[in-house]
Amino acid sequence: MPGAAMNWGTTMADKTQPKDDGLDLQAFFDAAQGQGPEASPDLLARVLADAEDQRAAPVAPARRPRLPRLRALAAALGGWPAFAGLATAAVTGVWIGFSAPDTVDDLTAGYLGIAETPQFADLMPQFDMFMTEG
Amino acid sequence: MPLDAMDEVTDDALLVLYANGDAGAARALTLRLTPRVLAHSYRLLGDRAEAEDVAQDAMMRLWKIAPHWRQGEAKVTTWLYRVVANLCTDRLRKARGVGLDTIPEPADETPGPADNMVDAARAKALQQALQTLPERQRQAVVLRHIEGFQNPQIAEIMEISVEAVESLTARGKRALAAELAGRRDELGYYDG
Repeated sequence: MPGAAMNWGTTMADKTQPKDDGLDLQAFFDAAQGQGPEASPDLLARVLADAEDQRAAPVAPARRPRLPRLRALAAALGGWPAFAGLATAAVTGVWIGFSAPDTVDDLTAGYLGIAETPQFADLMPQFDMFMTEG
Repeated sequence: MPLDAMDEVTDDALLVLYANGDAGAARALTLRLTPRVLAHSYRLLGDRAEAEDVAQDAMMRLWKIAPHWRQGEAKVTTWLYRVVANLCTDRLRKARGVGLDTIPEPADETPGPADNMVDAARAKALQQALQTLPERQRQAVVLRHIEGFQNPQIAEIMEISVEAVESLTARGKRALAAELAGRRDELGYYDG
């Protein structure tokens, strides 16, 4: 093997490369770039087979857990805060219905300008009245 | 999609196509990335059989992450080179304690014209010298000077700063030059 042909590549000097002992590293890097191992057909086939296996078994989308009925209702109404509002309204209604008839009477009397709350109006007089001779 | 039509498609987009069940995308990614992954793992490990195992393993991880890949967030090659480096580090750690004498000889390429023989000899000598470097120096030098990455991308792959990359490549090159210079006579090469 002729020594001149097998030198360290000093003729391929790269100006950006520092020289150490007259050695041109860039020539070695250039050589290595063209001398990498080639992927064998066998390796490519194995990699492709793996790809097919993984493709054949796609990741199943996670099943949405089934909500209990109460939770489902809460979700439909807009979550637990909406439920809290509903509960407050319901309790307030019950409280008004049971606990404050006097206040309601007073308010009605004040509004209508009479002392007693009318119990009812006799809009349908009884039949006897028409039978009375006057 | 036909295979040649995929030449212009980015790795990112191919990976999303693959995740959506496109067989052509799998073939395109295999042919595009496997040779690069194999070459890189060979340069880090210096052993063809081990490099093939790492390449297949790294590609398997790519197939597995495909359904979860978020397009545009990271480059596929950056992610893949990082995986290769981690897999190689694991193997080298397991094999730690192995002496320099047992470092496998790089396989001889088929002899060709004189220029190819010179290049083959240089590549072989470089590969042997690379095996004498500390792992991180070797990785930085290979990424910068053989794979052709720029320092910011190497920093991303190695998860270190650009300054640290510069330091590693500088120290690595000094060590390589010293190693190769010291082995001239042993390898039978002389300056012309």
